[in-house]
Amino acid sequence: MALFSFRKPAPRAAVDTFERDVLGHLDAMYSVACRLTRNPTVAEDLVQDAVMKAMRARDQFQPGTNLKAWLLRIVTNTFLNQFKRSGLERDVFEGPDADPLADGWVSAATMRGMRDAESAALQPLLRAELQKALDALPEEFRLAVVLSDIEELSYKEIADVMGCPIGTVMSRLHRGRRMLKASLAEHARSLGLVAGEGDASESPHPTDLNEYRAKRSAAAQ
Amino acid sequence: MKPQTISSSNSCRRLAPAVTIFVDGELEPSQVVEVETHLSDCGRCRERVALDRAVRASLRALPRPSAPQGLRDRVAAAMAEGRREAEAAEAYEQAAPLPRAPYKYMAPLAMAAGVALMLTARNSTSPDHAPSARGAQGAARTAQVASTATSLDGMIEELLDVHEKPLPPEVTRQDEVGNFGPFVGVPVEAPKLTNYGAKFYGGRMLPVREQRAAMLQYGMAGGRRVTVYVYDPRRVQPEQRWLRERVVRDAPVYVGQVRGFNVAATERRGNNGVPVGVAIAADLDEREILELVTDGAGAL
Repeated sequence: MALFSFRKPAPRAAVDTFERDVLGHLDAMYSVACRLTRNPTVAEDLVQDAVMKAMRARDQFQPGTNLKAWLLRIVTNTFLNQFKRSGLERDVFEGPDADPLADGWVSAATMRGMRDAESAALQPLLRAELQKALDALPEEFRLAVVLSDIEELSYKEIADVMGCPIGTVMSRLHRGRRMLKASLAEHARSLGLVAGEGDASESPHPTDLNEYRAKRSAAAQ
Repeated sequence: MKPQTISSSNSCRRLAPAVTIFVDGELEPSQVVEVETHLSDCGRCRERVALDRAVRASLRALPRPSAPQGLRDRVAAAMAEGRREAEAAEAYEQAAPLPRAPYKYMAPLAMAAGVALMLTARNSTSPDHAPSARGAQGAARTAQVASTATSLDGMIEELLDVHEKPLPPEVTRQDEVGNFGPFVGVPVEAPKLTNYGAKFYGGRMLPVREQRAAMLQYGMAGGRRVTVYVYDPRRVQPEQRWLRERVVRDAPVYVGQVRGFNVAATERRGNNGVPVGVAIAADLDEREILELVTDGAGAL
């Protein structure tokens, strides 16, 4: 029997599970591609290119590891290659974080006013601004925030996708969210959701100091 | 009242990155205690955490675009195409091809073989009419007939030789086979056999005694191969013994089983009315090959 089996070897499985799994992550790939490119048409091309690359490189995927993260890494790399991003932008933002608390000027009251007590989410009016605020982030930060907060990847997986150390992921996330909150606070003020206070250029100390003095004088009386 | 704003501002500053990580649930347990202690003291950082969580909840609630059906279809089609390509290549990798022989050496070799076989044939007293498992014998039989022109039988023998032991292709792009036309004497096009699950693998020129034919290779799932011969039928004697004539859509088609392979041959009109001969050998059953040669020839 075995002697003659060469003529008609068993056909491949009718359903290729790898292909099926990749198609299962198409929405995630497209969603991330949309947020990277900010253009649905470009995003479609990006996803198609990335899928073809993934199919060619399928032997490099290690079964048992996170396929979604692997695919998103291909999407990211394809995007960076296509748009000829040099290391320049990375260098600009990769420096030490001068002030980890640059949102210090936003008061607790403002932060409280930006939230919606019932839904534990942002105020509905701010939710409408969130997409714009996210799109306005520099892409390294936008990608980190999208992968963490929307695609729910772990730091380790984000590091794999972005091809950087976990420490860099943390710093990008921290700074990305801080920029996001700063721009949302600005919207909140312009929409009159919260009282105007200070401005972005002001350091936190005068605010805190005034608060401190006010409290001290109140205590003294 | 305890003035804690300034002192807490320093620990706020120090702990700010840790608070982000805390919100993400990825902080080391040893640091969690420190952050939680700070949060219980610092209303402002509690607000920070609450706002971070609110932003995250709202981000997660953003409409998440799903892949449009058109993209899904295109990706699935491209995957199927890639799969066919891989299968086609696999079919030829499994076939243990003959060692590569550059084309320019093939013609003299074939001629030498022809002479040798003619001698053999003359010495042969009783021609063997049963399909032979060895191409050499078949070629010898054909040599008796083909003194001036190749016979269809001879063509089929050659076709089966290269089907059984495929030669490496000279071109691998379907649109390059048109270049073979001037050598074959008729326009050469690679039929699209995608509907039959067969994917173009490659093509090459092949000397068939006095003339040249284009050989086109296709592979499909299960290591099966389809070899298409495109030749000038005006230089081929139609006589043959193995195939029976069938008329499909007013066109005569010759089909039959030779050396364990299904073979079909037909003729079609090229763009300028030139008849183009097409012969196919395939690891397919008779119904499939008949469908392929009639329908496929239409797609030629």
